[in-house]
Formats: sequence, C-alpha cells, structure tokens
Amino acid sequence: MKNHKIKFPKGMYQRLRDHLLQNANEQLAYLFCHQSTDAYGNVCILPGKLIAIDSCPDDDTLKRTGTSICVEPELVNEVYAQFIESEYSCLVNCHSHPFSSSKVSFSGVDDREDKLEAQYVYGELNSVRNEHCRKAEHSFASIVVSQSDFDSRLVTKDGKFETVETITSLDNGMTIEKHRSHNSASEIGKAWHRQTLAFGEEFQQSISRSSVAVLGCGGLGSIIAEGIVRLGCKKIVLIDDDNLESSNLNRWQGAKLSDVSRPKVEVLKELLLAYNPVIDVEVVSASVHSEEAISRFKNCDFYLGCFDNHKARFLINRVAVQYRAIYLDAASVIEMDSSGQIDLLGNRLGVVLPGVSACMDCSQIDYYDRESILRGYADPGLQEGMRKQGYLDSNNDMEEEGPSPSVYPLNMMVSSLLLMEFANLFGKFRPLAVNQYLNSVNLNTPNMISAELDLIEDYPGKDCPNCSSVLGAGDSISLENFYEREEKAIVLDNLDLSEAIAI
Amino acid sequence: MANPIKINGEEIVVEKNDTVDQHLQRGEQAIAQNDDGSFEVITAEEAKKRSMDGIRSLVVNQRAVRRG
Repeated sequence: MKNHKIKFPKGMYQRLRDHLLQNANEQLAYLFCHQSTDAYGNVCILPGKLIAIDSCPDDDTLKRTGTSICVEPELVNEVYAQFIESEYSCLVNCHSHPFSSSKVSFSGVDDREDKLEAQYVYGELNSVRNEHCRKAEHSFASIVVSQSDFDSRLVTKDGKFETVETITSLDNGMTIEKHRSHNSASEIGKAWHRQTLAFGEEFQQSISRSSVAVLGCGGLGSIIAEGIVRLGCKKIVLIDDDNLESSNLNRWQGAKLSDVSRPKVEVLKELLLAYNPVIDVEVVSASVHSEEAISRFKNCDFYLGCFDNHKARFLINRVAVQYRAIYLDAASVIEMDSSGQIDLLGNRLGVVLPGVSACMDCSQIDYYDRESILRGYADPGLQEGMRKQGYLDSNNDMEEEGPSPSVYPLNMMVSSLLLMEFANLFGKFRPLAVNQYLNSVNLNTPNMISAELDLIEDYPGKDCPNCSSVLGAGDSISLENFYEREEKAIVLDNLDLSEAIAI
Repeated sequence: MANPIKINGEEIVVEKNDTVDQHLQRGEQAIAQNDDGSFEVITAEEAKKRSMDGIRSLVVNQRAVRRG
C-alpha cells in the first residue's frame, strides 16, 4: 500500500483548521503545494500557500450551511488563476464537517465533486500550464476535517482515490496525525509501556508513525538506528555503501566477527528486525550522494546524519530544507597533539528544523570545512588549478588521509544527545534545540561531564540560498541542478575562488 | 498586441534576436513578438503582465465547487 503524506510548514495546519472550523458552517480553503514522489511511488505533499475562501456578507458567490458549501465559478476561477500563475504544482481542496466531533470521512457528495474537480485540474488547467509554464504537471488532492480528526486523499488522473496516511506539522514540536480509522491499538505495545510512563501515549503514537532515514551506517549510525527502533520508530531507511570491516568492530553496535565483509546496511537491517520484527526497514547500499539513495529517503520525516565527511553534510542539509525533513546531524572527533596525546574528545549535534531554525549554511556556527567540500565537488582539473593558486593544500587530500581515531563511548555520547533531541521533538518535554549543541569531554578533571554544552539560538537567514529559495520546494527543483548550482555557489560565493575556476 | 516569447515562472527568459540584441539588458527587458512577426523590446514587468492576463483569460471553468 502507498504511504502518502502531507508535511505542513510551521503554523499552517493550525491556521487551516482555525479557518475551516471557525463556526458551525462548512468552510472551504485551498492549499498550493509542491510535491515529491519517491522511488516507491509514495507522494509527499508540501503546502506552501494557504488560500482561505471567504466573501463579503452580501456576496452570493459563496453559500455555506452546516452540512454543505458551494463556491460559484467566478470566485473559484480566481483561485485557479492564482494557482496557474504560482510556482506550485499540486492543488489541495480542504473543507470541514464541523458537525462531527470525532472521526470524519468523505461524503458521497465529496466523492463525486472531488472527481469532477480533479478532472478539471488534470485536464483544462494542465493544458493552460503546458502552454505557458514550465512547472511540473498539476495534481489534485483533498482534505476534510472534523473537530478532532481529518481524512485526506490524492485523486489520481483516472479518478481513483489514494489515502494520505499522515499529516505532519512542526510547531512547538513534531506532530504526526493519522486518520482515526487507520490507527491500531497495537501501536502501543507492552514493549513501550515504561517509556509511555515517561513521555505519554501521544508521544508513542507519533513516533511510531514517523519515518526516519539513517544516513551513514557506521559507528554512529549503528547505535542511532538501534536507538530509534527502541524508541518505537517503525519506518526506517538505511543508507550506506560500505561493507563492514574488522577495524569497525570496536564501535559498530551489534556487529559480530562473522559479519565482516557484509554490507553494513544488511547487517544492521537484521539486527533491527531482531529487536522488532514488525518494523519496515528499507536498505540502500549506495552512496548518499546518488540519485538512487536520495529518491528512496527524501520523503522521510527525519534525516539522521551519521557521516564522517563534510561533503555529505553539505548535500543533506540542502536536501532536508528542500524536502522539509528535520535533520539531526551527529559528529564526534578525537584530536591528538604533536606528542601523540589526546588533545580533544569532542561531540557535536546539529539540529536543522527547516523554516524554523537556521540551516547549516546560514547558521552562526561555521559548520563545514568548506575546503574539504570543495575538494569533494571539484573535478581533478579544477583541483589542480586551485592547488597552483594556493587554495588547496597539496598535502591535504582527503583520499590520502589515514584513518582517524574513533572510540565507542564517545560515539555513544553524541548518539545519546541525538536520541534525546529526537525524543524531545515528539515529547516536547523541554524547548527545542534551535540550533546546535557543542560538547566535549573535560580533559582537565576526573569529572567526565562536558566542559562545554551550548544551546545556540539560530534562525533561518533571510538571504540564505537554502532557507529563502528552496524551502519546501520538493521535486520542483531538480537535484541535478542542485549539484551543478551548489558547486558553482561554493566556488564563487562562499570561498571566493573565482580566479581558480577561471583556470 | 505584442506577446512575450517565453515565460519561465517569475523570471522572463529572453530569446536573443540579432535585430534587438543590442538593446537587451538581461532581467530588465524582454523581447515581445508582435502579431505581424516584428519584435519590440518591452520591460520584463510588462511582459509578465501581458502573459498573465493571457493565462487568466484561459481559466473558463463553468462549474461551481461543492462539498457536503
């Protein structure tokens, strides 16, 4: 079965419900949305603009009663015209059944009218689009809400209904709602009884509906993947293109000697299914930079970054903002001094809440080693030119670097930070981390508590190329263009290497 | 009545033509083609307005939207 979803930006779902349930009469609104279709055919609708339908008291283009609503063509055509003019490709009709205090479902009138309106959107409106715009082909969906429930569906080109399973909104925390008839009592099992005593049943329901991509299944990813399953997450995508090596065994959670040489994602999938056999685990043994990998995880609600390189962070930060996924990034580092003594045991948790907090590009923290990103994206000819210009250290190629030190307890510390913030997004037991934690082990006292623990408030930059222009754009902006544009952006804007690129 | 040659979302995409290329300033002016096939240089804002007026006239839905 398809797993379609709607991801609302901050505050919009509440504004929609407030409009639709403002009094005892049915109300109507439209959403202009981008959308994203993943490799499994699941559609994620990304609303960007809310059009609340209203009229003057003496205007007869809008008729509302407690059980019906009718909008005359002259009013609805204004909505269609605005939609055609906009950059959005998905139109969502939203209306209310205010008389219903609990479970809601579409009526027979809704079924008939949804099909007729979809026919117009897919037919005549698409023809206008084809003639004048380059944006993606239009699609149509609908939502009905009651006082405490919703139902939603995509209407396909051939007039079939496909259920939208979840509505996700990020306000003071993460809320994932599901139509009541789709809820099952087994969502809260005995396994999570002690946890619900702490965080509550609503927490457990929301977390069980979430979808999570674990990006990088190494020393950090293996711990974090186990952690989210134990918290109750049931839809997981694992991405990594490496095989397990003997040198991973000091820190790879759950690995056995007999697992060496097997793909990390396969080993991890087995372990997770052993913890909970009913979860849905997808594995992709490919680079996170590949189109195949991104098409499989892009619609997830969370991206958990467990990388050891800045190039991957740079890409995933951009994809997270574009597909409105919460991005939690864990990193640990051990620095040695010239005499071979430990100089730093450090951890860092990055939190990117698209549209709510700064992304890694516009954060106050200098998040990336931009030179290593540039090395990762630049072709060999450009790299050579940059070396000649002195922009790259010829003795500092990533490929030539030896293995870096890495230990299990340090990975555990940052994994715990990440898992606590993941839980907090649903449990809302303390203010959200906006934006980053920095944490390091105090090397000067026997007390291992962090020497530094900062919570930095950091909001989206008005001029940030990510937060201002691609937020929630979904498939409207191709990732192929993203790669090309970012490569140029790094060179020209961020690093001011225009001379190097001219070589 | 002149029609803009091509519109790309918010941005006017200019197709250069030898006869008017010297007048072109990308992003500030667009080239419109008249009904008789001749070209004229107009502002991007005017080009967009003419195009959108054209699109609006094509939205001719006759049905009311109902839900119940």
